[in-house]
Amino acid sequence: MLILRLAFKDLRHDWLLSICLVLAISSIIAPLLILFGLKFGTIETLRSRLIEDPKNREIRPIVTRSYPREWFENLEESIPGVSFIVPMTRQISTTLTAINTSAGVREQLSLMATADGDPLLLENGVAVPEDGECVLTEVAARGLEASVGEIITFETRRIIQGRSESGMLTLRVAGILEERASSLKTAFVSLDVVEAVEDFKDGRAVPTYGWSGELPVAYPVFDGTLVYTPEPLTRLEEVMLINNTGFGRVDKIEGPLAGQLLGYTPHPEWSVYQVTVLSRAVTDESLQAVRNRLRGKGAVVIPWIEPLPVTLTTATKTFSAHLAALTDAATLVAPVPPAIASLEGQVILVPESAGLEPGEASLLLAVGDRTLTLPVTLIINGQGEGLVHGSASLAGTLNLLRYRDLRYDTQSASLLLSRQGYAGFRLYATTIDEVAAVQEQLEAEGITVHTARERIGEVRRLDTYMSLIFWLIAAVGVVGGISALTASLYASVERKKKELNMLRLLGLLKREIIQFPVYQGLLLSGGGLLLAGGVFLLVAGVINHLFREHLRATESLCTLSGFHFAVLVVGVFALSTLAATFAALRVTRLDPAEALRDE
Amino acid sequence: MNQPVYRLRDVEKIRTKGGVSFTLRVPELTVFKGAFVSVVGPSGCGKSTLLDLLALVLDPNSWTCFTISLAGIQGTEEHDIPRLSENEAARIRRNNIGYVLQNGGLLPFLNVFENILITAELSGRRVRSQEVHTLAGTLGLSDQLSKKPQYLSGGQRQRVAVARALIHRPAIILADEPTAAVDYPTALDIRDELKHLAHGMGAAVVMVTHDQSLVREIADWEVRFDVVRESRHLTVATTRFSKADALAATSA
Repeated sequence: MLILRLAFKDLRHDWLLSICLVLAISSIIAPLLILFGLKFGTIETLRSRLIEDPKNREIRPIVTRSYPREWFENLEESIPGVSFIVPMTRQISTTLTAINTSAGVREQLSLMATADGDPLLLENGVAVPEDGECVLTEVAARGLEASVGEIITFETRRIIQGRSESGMLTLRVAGILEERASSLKTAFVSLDVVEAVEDFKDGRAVPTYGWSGELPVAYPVFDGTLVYTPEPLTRLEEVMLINNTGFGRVDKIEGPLAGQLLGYTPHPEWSVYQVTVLSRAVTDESLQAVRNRLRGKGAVVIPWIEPLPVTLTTATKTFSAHLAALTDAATLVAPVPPAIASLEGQVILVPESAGLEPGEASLLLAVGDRTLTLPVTLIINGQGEGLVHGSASLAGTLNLLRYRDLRYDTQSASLLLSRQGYAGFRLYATTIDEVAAVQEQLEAEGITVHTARERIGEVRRLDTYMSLIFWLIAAVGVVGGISALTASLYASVERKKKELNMLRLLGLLKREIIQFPVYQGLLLSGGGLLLAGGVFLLVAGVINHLFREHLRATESLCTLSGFHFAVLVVGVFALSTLAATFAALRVTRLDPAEALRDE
Repeated sequence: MNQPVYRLRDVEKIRTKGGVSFTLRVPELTVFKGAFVSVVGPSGCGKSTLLDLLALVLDPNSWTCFTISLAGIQGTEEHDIPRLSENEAARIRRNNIGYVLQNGGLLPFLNVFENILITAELSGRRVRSQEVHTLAGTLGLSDQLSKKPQYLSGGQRQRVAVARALIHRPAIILADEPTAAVDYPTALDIRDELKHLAHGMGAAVVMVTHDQSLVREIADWEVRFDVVRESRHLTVATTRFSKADALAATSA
């Protein structure tokens, strides 16, 4: 402690010289700090922007083709590195007119589908719009003179048979996306809205918005047919049933199986055949073809479907069963109850054993991962054997759910085909590092896509070159700094030669003699560090303040972490100690008395 | 008085500088406890070399006997000087030797009070500030205690150096031309103060001076030099050690 006190007193005595040294040291360190601060600040800002900016992670197909629903559903599993994907309709059908009635402004803009987790919106601080809402880009909002909370009317037009028609819908502005994120005139809406507009433009009706037009009504498909003949068919006649009819297999049915297939055991005088498809179901046309082959043979042809698992729910009870098709022709071949006559539309014939009340019920059908719910009317009748029955039309149409998405439209009270696929998509990779991999995988599937890969590559290259240049400058700076710091401290010890030798003569040990300049070096470089740190914080503050507008809250142009400061402090202290020790050893090499007399 | 502090026999130190060799030979030198030894001679005769040998900062090249005897825990301990390590020598220096330099050799960053006290602090000897004040009063430094050396006159500086060499009560005081930088009356004062104070605490004094008249009256022992310039490159100085009284008597 005595040595430290002496060292400090000496520095205080030569305060002018000490200040000069502190200034010299801080003027060595401060520019290096700012240089490194800019390096870690700007480059980190640019880099994190590049990584964070969804624009750079966006992947869009260049060519329009049909992407089935399943493709979207399975994408996140089949291609790793995808953080978000939303389907897009055809570009041409997304353009429409937006009207801000309160301001009296009209603006052409395009719709873009969005969904929960859309990084373009979320990472730019805008929530994903809910039903009845939209998010406008800044350009669109400016054009419409619209702000958050206002109601915007969207008008889409189509020409049907030379007649111009328009469809309107209104959405509330839930948010405005800053221009940096998108410079297009766009409204982000839920996929339903985009689909509705495309449907309308394609001439279809969109009951949700009261837009008239054709309905994509679902049609019945069958997995086979049950053929009843008074006389057994010849082998040739059997083959004729599957020759070019769409069916692929014919089986003669004997015994109780005939009853199980229909749900009612046929009268014994009938020969029963089951004609089935090999893979995909067939339409009415194939049934008609079979009927034609059997013309004049007194045959009865009843459409057949693989029984569908359905759940019927009434106000009081839920009942699970299998649904089969039935037509009134069945009355000819089996003891089918007369109620079959009213089996049309959404009517389900239920056996008494089910214990259900007749009347309104809801039918839930689940096939694979598709489900469908529709209202039905129950008729209780018959001694059915485990099956419930619907008309061939209803059962066949429900059977379509095995192949297509269906939905029940309450307004038209009909089963409609849902959209099969989409013309495009908007996809985001989890990080920029994944972009290239995702692109390759998509292109392996034959999907040519546009990515910001070139820009990512450019910025990466720029980063490499800038880093190289920076490190060259920094190396020169650090080497210069080390030399200057060593020289300053060395010279200051050299100036203390007399005092050091005096202390030696007074009986200071070698170790203590070295401690004296080492302490001084540490005090001086400590002061230099503090001053340089202060200058750095000030300059960094000014820089960050000047460029504040261009920075987001967590960014800064000039910054250093605690780790960097720790490395700096350790480095400077180690260097000072080394320089002072070396200098002290040198100046005390002579005999102390001789050194004192050598003036 | 007959207890030796330093004992030197056939100690030789050769110093070479710029191709010129200087040899100091000390056939015989004994410094007794409390004695005042004057080392007198012209410049370049080896006075300072002798003093540096005694201050344990120079090692001799050859010797028969070169010891220092100091009061240790178990009575007097005799140390073989050339065998001391640098740190042992430094410890002996800080505890047992007071050093007065020609120009004071004060530490410029400490005030007078601190300068005086530094030897005490280094030796670890507890010194009450009263002692410093008393000593300073004796040396006429009472008003100067808070000043830095740079504000003192030459005489005051030397007095501070004397005080610093004495405050930790060393057994030996080495004074290297302590009065060379002051006028003659002041030199006499300082000499007397040094002699008086050292005598008071029983310390041996080895005082180097080029001025015979300054020490003639007070020295107990005297060291003189016979300098022989054997060639342009070789000078040999041999000490003569004698009792000062006898010397004074013969010259008188």
